[in-house]
Amino acid sequence: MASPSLMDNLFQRSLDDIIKGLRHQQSTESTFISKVIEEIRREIKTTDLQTKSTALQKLTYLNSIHYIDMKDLNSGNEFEVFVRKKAVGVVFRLFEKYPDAARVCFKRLVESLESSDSQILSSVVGVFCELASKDPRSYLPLAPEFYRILVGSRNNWVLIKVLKIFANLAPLEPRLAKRVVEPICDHLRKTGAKSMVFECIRTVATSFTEYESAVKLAAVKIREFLLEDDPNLKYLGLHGLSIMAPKHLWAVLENKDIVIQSLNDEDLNIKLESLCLVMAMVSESNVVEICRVLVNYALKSDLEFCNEILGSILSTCCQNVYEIITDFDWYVSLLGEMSRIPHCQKGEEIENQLIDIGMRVKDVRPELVRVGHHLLIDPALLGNPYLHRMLSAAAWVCGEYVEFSGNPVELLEALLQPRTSLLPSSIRTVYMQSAFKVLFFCVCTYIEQKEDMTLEVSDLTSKGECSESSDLASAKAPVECDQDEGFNPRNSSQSYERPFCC
Amino acid sequence: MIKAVLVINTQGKPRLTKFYGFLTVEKQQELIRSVFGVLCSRAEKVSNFMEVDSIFGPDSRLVYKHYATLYFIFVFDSSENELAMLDLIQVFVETLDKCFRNVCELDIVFNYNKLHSILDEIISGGQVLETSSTEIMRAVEEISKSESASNSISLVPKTVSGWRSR
Repeated sequence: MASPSLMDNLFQRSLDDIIKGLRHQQSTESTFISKVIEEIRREIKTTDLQTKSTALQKLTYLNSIHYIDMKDLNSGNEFEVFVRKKAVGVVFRLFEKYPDAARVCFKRLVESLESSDSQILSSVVGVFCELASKDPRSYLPLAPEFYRILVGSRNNWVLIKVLKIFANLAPLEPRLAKRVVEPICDHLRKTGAKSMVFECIRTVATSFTEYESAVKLAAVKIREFLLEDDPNLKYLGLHGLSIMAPKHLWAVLENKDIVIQSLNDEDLNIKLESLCLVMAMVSESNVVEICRVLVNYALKSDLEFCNEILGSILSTCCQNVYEIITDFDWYVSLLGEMSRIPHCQKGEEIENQLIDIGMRVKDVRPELVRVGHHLLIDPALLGNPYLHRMLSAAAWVCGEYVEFSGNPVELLEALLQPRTSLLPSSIRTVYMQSAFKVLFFCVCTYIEQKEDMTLEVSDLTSKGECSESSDLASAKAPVECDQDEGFNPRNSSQSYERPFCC
Repeated sequence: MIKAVLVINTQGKPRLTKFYGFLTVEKQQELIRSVFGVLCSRAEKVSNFMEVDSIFGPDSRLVYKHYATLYFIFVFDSSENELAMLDLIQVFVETLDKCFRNVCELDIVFNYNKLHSILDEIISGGQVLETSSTEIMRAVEEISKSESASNSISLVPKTVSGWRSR
């Protein structure tokens, strides 16, 4: 490249000039930019402060909009504080895109760690914080430097960044964690700044979970946050608990009362955090009680939070194929209850779960049919669009497991009632198919009973093992009727689908 | 790092928008609209945080403060501390107050340049540079001093546009 001319030296382009220039260059943008970069490269090495600042300003601007290929950024002569800080800030953006450049400038950055100027230190530590979060292992060798800052610095901004760095480094090196946990606890005990307290809590809860005394101390501080009136601190206290929850559920249980109370808070953030914590506390033994409490809150809440609660209950209960549910009869009736809550918009999920449970859990089918029957005979529910999915599930279940129904004829009438015209056609399809299944079942039962009666008349010794009721009108089907006996085409659950479904 | 600094008035009009990362103009406007949508439904005495994963992507947090007719909003990721960010908003507003004497929305509307210079002293490229209001004021005063000084030297203007305007 030709040596810089007098013209280039005398006139430095300002940021405005660059912007105007860029706007005029539609097609040759990249050449324009490379020319500008060359200029900047030269300008940044000068000792003239104004030139340097303008160069940096242009660089920052360009960096935020275009990809830049820069290498000679960190020239050693930058001792002027304002300029240096900005240079460090820009350096980070370039490291993001070109990790190789990090190696080139590394030495300079590390030197800056020893700077006594807190502003420079702040910037540099900030850069290392970002870098360490992306690639912690490469910055492990700098741990002694960070340790020195951790125990020596009094500047909260710097300390917070260093804590974040250690949160990333500690999991990689247990010996490091052992050395660092004491100074962190020290800060936690002594600091007056809430931001520091919270960062210490977060660091301990994330990366120092095996250190019981540290965790206990963090739990004490969390409780202090929870008892504050300031909603920000309360929210952060709950957030801290949710970070602790996976490995230290005892801390959450200790604060159970505050957590449940917070479900009533006027701040949605706080409510949502407490909901997560409540769900974290759910286990086989307390699921019934907790769901009862939550459903009560849901009834009193607004639309958004009500559905958050219902959604949480549904997703927690169905985890690992309904691992925590021992009493499915209770759960099925809970599902029915939830679908009748005015704000409920979780009809589809409830429908899926009802059908899923019906297919998996044989013992619950009688209860399922009972609940379904109850829903189907009520004409008022047909007018409520949010309940349609629930009704669809009820119809399917009652059709599929009609043998458990106490009153199939009433069921049939419910499925065929005139108000079903209010349902969308996809659900009416389910109703019709179920109606056929029920009808078929009724007909079969009737014929079986007829056969039995003729048999009884001709042969006084009863042959039928099945205890059929002689009341033809109600056509009661015995719950434990052996499926394969007599004229009963229901040998597989798919049998009904074949003739009617096309 | 800090992802964005927004100042939006209570009617939804953005007064300052600074995004520290490349985003198309349409995307920026969409983000501003979404943020305002959630913000105006917040009650008064609640916490200053907002869940914004659905707006800004994973690992995004937002703090805001309501001063008179303006919302000051900082969006950042897990490399920043929430309470420290709240403090920083305070520092920003305090600096504006020192600069403009009882700053109000109109000051911000008519002194756009100054607002940007102040912000640039606090945050650059998404990194926090300065957290002391006095220091920032010092830097801003230096800048305005050197700007007025360079304006008075009209012999050889240092900028091309200065040269062209003669």
